[in-house]
Amino acid sequence: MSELSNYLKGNLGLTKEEKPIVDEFLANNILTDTSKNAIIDGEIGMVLECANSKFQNQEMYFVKDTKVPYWRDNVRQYDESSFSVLKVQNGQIEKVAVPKELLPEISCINKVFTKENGKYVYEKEASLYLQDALKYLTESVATKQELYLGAQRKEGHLYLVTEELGNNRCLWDLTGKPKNDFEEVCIPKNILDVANEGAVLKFNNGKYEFYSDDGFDRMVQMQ
Amino acid sequence: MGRKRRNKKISITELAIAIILVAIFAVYEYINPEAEYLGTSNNVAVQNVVQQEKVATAVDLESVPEYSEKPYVEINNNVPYFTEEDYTVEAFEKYSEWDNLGRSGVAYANICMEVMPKDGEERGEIGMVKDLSGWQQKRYDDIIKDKYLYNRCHLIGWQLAGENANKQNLITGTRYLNTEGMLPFENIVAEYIRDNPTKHVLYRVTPIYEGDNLLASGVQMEAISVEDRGESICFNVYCYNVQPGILIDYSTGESFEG
Repeated sequence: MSELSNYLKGNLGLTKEEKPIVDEFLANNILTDTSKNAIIDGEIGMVLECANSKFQNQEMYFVKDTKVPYWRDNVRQYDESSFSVLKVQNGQIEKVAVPKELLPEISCINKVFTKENGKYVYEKEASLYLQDALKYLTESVATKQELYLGAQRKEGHLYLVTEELGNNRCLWDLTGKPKNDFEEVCIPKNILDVANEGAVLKFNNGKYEFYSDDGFDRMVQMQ
Repeated sequence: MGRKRRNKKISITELAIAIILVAIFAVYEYINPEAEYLGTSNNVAVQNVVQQEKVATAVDLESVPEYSEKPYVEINNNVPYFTEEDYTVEAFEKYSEWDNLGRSGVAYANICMEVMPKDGEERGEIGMVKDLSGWQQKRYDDIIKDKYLYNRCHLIGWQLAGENANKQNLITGTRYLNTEGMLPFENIVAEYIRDNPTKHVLYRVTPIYEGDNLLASGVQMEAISVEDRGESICFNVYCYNVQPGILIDYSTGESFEG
């Protein structure tokens, strides 16, 4: 068994430590809602593109994760007996659950498979292609986010909290008075409790600090 | 040499034809009001629809129990009022025109990755919230941890449809309504779509007003997952527009310590 395991590792490049590229990135990076959605939507697009360019109308399977999230009665649960797989067929994509016993024993995360005579066949070239594409996607969205947010953060400016989005905050530059507010991800944990809608923050020495709690009063004075 | 003056007289016949055409057009618009397009959001046409006198599926306030500590109550055994005809995988968003009292009405969308806000989408102008019906903001520093009574409350949350600055997607809501009532249900739908980016959820939020009150007594939230007809996501709840410890005059939005 260990010989088979080593063979698979050596010949298929499969390891036990692999994590899903996109889901891990989403879990480990602080992103705006728009960035998260762009990555999730982008993954779908890239899997479709890979299927189209590498396999034309042939079925293609991309293994996303070792467990399948599913929902029942408004609650998310996980099926640990199957892989979460994106299946592409005739240009249509859907998420399916593939029982683990049908794919090679070693982790298949981030790998592409096709089917031959009912059996899953590992596609190394397509796998590497798609892995590179997904890494590029996640990094480019994150870079774009950081550039955008960097341009919004102005030393000494006051910002009104206009909406709370989890640990992120939507801020409107009270000093600069631009047209739009924006979603900020770098709100220090120690002020999250007081950085509520209507609060005013100040960007000082490279970070946000609580300034005052009279944001709505300031808005009224501005009208 | 003087310029010859032209006196082109419009004949009575031509005038009558013009008047008749205008009248026909006006009658046509009255009986068949077209949805006014606000433009596009994420390539999905965002439509205003003329607000109905009463939304057929809106909960009757008389049947809703008095608020008692829980931020929401289930309606119709938590089953929304969508019918088979409602199910679709076409993305859409619909918002109601303000009524003659300046109140927002039902907001209805097919939530999917197509309508959710993505990279590069601007949040739009935050606008002057004083336009919202019932907006009588007040501070209660000793009663409300976050000081202010009211939030700008989106009917369909930004994270679901990216409509931040659309006044028809906003009501005056207490912080309690926004964070304790509505937000958990919004999060359920958002997380479901992120887990299933090729799926859809019909999602309808109806502010419920008593009579001519400017402040909604609450909002009804309905949602159902389309592809599996509600096996994954299915709820029909009424969230109370209240703030514990504060008395609210719903006719105006004024408030007092309780």
